Amino acid sequence: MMPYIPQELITEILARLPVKSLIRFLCVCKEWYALITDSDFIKLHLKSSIETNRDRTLILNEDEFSPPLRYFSAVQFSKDNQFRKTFEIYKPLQNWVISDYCDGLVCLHKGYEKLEVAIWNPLVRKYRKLPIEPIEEPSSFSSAIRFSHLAFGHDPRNDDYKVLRVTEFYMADSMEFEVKVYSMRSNSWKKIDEQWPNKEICCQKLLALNGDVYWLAADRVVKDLESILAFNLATEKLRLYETPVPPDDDQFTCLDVLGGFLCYIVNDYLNSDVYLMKKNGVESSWTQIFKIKQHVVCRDFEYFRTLMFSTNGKKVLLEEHQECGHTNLIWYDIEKKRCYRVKNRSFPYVFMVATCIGSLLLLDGDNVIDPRQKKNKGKRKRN
Amino acid sequence: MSNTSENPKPSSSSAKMTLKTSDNELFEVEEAVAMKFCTVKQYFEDEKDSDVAARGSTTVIPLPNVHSAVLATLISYGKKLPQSNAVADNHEEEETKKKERKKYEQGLLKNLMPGELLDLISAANYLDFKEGLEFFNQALADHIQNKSVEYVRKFFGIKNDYEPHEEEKYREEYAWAFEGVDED
Repeated sequence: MMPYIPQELITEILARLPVKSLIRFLCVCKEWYALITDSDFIKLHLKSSIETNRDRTLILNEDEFSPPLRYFSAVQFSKDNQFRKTFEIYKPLQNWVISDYCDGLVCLHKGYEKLEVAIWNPLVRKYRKLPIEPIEEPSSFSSAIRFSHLAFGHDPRNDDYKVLRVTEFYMADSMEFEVKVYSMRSNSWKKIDEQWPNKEICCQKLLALNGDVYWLAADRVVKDLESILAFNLATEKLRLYETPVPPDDDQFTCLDVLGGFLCYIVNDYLNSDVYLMKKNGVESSWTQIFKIKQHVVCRDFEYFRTLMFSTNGKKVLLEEHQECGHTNLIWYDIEKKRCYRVKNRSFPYVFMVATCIGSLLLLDGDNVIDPRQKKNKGKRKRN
Repeated sequence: MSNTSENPKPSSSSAKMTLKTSDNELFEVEEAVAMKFCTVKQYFEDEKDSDVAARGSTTVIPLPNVHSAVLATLISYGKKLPQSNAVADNHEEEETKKKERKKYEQGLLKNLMPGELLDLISAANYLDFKEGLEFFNQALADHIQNKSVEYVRKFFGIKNDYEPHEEEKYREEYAWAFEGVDED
């Protein structure tokens, strides 16, 4: 006789499954369909994925100078800190570039001005193009040089995924900003009328973490003064943080996210110091977690990004960019102070990593149809 | 650990409790292990509050929803868990114990029929045995992860309430999710 399994237990069991299994089990019965597509279940499943590193996939995003390919190279990371064989993921939109990622969703854009934006869940093979929102040039800035930056993150207060677009305008000695936010819930953009400080964005990308978008900013008046700006996606207000250490002229700094914390990296020719803001939003909680001596890595690296901790937290995965252009993935053992390069011949020569995790978000998006899939249609066995 | 005597001797060192299964078998279990079954813990604490039962007397806790074979496995698993009253081990001892437990867990799962997993989960849920539920839920998830839709329906006794054309539509749209699935 079949024992009675209450629905809460079915939910518990299903929340431990990888995305591919859950997509398949959508057609077990209507009750399971309702259960799997329920927004609370999706949140529970995402939380469980993040905690156990389930479906952790690294997309190796090749740079814009590489020949345009129709597929991204990707590699799965297993619970025991191993990388599996690389495989290919069909790009939902050809010639679009990855700008950011969060909770298993990847934000893509096309064009220098980043007017065309899309959100994609590679593991579920769904995507959605955002409505195009024009950039409104401020008056008297008609011949200004402009730079657009995108960030994509989760606003926990409103349980919404948002895209932040910041456009800087430079003309002579003046500077202006235009800031717009897209909300996935409302599928619409809105302009932010916050007064922005006179500081330039001085890093390659904006980072979204726990409802805030961070970036490094250089003061336009006080030379060499670097700060961290944080824009809150819920309150839509800006905050300024001090960097853990004031960097010297010959030091190269960058901001990153590691293990769910804001990370500040200071590089010079001898060392790289890595700091973590252990308590979100608390300046005094900046802690130096490790320092890598250049010679330990055995080669000249220009800079590195911190990607993630190993499952036991003892090692950190770094994306190392060498001066010659080559990209490597390196495990740094914090205790032993040693580096181990991840050897994989199928990695591209130059890439940036976008990290995905098992998530059922965007199930209602448009399908990504892999042309190779279509070819196999006739040969597939029913099961 | 089955003990069919009606009056088990009260133990002087570690307190023991007696659990009675649906098929009338009696299990004498150390208190530390039995307390991991929160339902039992609740029952025991309720009994303590009322003056009827005192420690070491012959309290038999009935578990009408749990069969002896299932309880035996749950008790066995409970014993292998780190005990809350145990002295803290040093790092090496902890690692050894972890490895031992992993080995035990693998052995346990190997000898289990998939159908028994449902019984274990149902019982662990009834007993409110959190660690056991966690372990067996994961084991079941691992078991069905790569199985076909038909297998899962049969396993859980679920009736397919989709029209054939509705189901076909899914299989077309998510064809990739149906690839590489275990043979039934």
